[in-house]
Amino acid sequence: MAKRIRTDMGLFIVTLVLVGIGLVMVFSSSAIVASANPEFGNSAYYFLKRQAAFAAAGIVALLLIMKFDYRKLRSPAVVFGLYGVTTALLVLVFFFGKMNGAHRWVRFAGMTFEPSELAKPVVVLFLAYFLESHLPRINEWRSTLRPAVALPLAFTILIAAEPDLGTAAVCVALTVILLIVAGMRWRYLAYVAAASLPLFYFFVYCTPWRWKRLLAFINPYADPQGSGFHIIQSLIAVGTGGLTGLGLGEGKQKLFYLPEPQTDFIFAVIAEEWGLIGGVVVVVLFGILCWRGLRAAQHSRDNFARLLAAGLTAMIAVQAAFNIGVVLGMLPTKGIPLPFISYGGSSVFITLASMGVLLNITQQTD
Amino acid sequence: MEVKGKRILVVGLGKSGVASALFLESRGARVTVSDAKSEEQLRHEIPSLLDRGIVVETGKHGERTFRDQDMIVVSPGVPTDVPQLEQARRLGIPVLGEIELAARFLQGTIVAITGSNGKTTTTTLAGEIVASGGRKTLVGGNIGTPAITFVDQTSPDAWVVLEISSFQLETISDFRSHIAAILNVTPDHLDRHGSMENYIAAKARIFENQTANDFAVLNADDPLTAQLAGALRSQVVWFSRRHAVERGTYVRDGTIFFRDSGGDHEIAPSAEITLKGAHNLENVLAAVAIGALSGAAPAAIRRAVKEFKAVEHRLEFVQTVRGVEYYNDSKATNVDATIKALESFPGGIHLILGGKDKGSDYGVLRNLLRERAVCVYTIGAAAAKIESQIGDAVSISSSGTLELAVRKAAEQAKPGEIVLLAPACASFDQFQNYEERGRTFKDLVHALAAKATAQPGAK
Repeated sequence: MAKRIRTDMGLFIVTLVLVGIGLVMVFSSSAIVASANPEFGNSAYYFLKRQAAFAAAGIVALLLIMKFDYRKLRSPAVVFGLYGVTTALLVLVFFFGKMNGAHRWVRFAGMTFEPSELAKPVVVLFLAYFLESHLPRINEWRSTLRPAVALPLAFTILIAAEPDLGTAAVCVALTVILLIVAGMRWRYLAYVAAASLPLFYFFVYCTPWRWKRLLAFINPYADPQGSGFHIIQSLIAVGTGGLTGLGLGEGKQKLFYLPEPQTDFIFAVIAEEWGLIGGVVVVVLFGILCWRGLRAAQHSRDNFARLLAAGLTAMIAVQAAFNIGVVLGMLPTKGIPLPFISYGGSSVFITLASMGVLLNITQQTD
Repeated sequence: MEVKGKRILVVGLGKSGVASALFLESRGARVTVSDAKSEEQLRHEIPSLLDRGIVVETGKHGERTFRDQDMIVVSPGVPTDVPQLEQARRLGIPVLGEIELAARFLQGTIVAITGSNGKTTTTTLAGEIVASGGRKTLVGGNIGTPAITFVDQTSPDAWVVLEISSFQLETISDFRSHIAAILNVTPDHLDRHGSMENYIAAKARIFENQTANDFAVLNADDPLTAQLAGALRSQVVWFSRRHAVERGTYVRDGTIFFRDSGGDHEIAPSAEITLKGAHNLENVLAAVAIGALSGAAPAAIRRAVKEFKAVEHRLEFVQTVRGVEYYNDSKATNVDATIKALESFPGGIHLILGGKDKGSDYGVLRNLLRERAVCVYTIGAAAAKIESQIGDAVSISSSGTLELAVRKAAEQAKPGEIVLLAPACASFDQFQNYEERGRTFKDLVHALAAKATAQPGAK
């Protein structure tokens, strides 16, 4: 096959469409609440404007990174530099106060930033870099698996300590996926699962509020005003939407029932206002994005690109699946944003910048 | 009070809540803050707290957050009977207000001023007068600078003049001021205090910890507060605009006097007061009494009173026409400012409301309007919305323009009543800015006055 020098326009367009849907739905979810609150200057556009600014910055980053040869990332200076910076930020988080039960933020020069968002692409980059050079010995514990697990595990532990178990779970999922893509034997996965059972016991069963949350996901109606509240409001939104939805802007659950509907539960608003059809469209768009991303991985010229493309695609797919799973009550409540769509500067910016890397890989496929 | 290493929760992230949290953290406490507003609503307050390692809770008051504490500091505005606070009290956790906290750290002499109306004016003027007597003076409290921020600036010789709301008084225990004043009591915030008796009792708590060396400043013209005098340990100092008092300030033949054991001291001709209106005269008398008690000389007091000016467009007295006082509060471009303006007058208000809507909820004005307003004159683009939200509480006269509103109000207002422009809206639909709106209002009032002198008796 001839060498492709053109960007995968399909992937690019799907990305832009998802960002566009995000802006529309952030506006729809937040306008009324924002206009009723003097803290937002009584401006219906408050969240829209901010999200648009982050999306614009993210798209600029995407276009710049798209021109930047991904192979320049394949250097120990870049990989371990980023790893070091991210580790430092993840540690720095603990020097700032807890926000709603978790150390999430780092602030400098008036900007707030969530280092755990950065951790996700950095895990992917590190594994792509490391596993590429260890592919022939992929199933060797000492030389390959142990270091390949150790460094992402350091991130995971720091993030779990914030505590942000959702993002920690995403990091674990990305590590497992990349190891399997690289050819690790499935058998090891079973070992990991077995080893994690006692961890689950200590972290979840022995922490009453986490256990409560888990139970809430299994039966939200046991405590409808407490731990089940979020899920029930979300399910009401999704159910109300029916097949075709109430129409854009017509949703009711976003009005003081779903807390902060523009963030993690935005998919519930989509389902309420656009119905099953709208929900399926969003899922299909993520599906197309995965297909194009994996296709780039398949056709890429080197194993670094193959792993990197697969990892970045997985990063988006895993988060989208987690997020939608939570909204539909299939997974316990975890603070995971819907990529491109949920309100939140760090997430939108970093996801778009990561897409820049993926698009650059698509330019250099055979 | 030692707070180092203690776990302290601050509830409510208003100005005083943030100040309390930062202060406690600087003294080595392990501070948590909790506010029912969302993270995004509190985006201006949160960063400075997180930077200092303070734990932040938003969107709710968590049950667990209120349990594991050594002390809880409640901001004014937070209902004192929320279940989480009840639970904390049951667990034996001390719950106190910001003013109580501040008082435990403040050095120097405290002056505390409360009342239903005129607190801010009186506090500001009293601060000026005390300072004119050569004292190191700090002014703040309920509005403006929270008392807790003064702690690091105070010294044993400082005077701290504080405006205190009845909400703040609810949460005091040991708070004691050398001079405490209640200006007046009008039915206000009854939603929270339940009954008038409770409300007066809440105000009277300002005297609770005073001793025989302290002073209670009371309004002799206000029977509801005057009756408190009998039960006080502190020495009573009166102020009255109607008659002479045995000790305190009063007006005789257009001159303000302060009387103490040394006899009458002439302070100033009342014509020199730039603040107009009967209620402002009371505020000045109270401030003068406080100033005199602080040791300021009559000449210094007179200078301070004379130099104290109302700010243009900020509850600015315009003129009295046929016995009706006109006030320009064009700067009130939101509902909160209009509430403040309404609270400055005990009743008989003809209010001009409206302009460009900023998405406000005018319904919150209903109780105050019911209590104090005679009629509301709506103007501008927001008129229809305002009428639908407050129409059940007060009679409404749709006027469209400011000009028509002033004319209608002048026709309806009886002598002794007040016409107030405090529109709760932006001005951009009909004016360049709020200054232009205010000047237009003043021009209209002056024109009315000119007409009134031209044809006396006619209406």
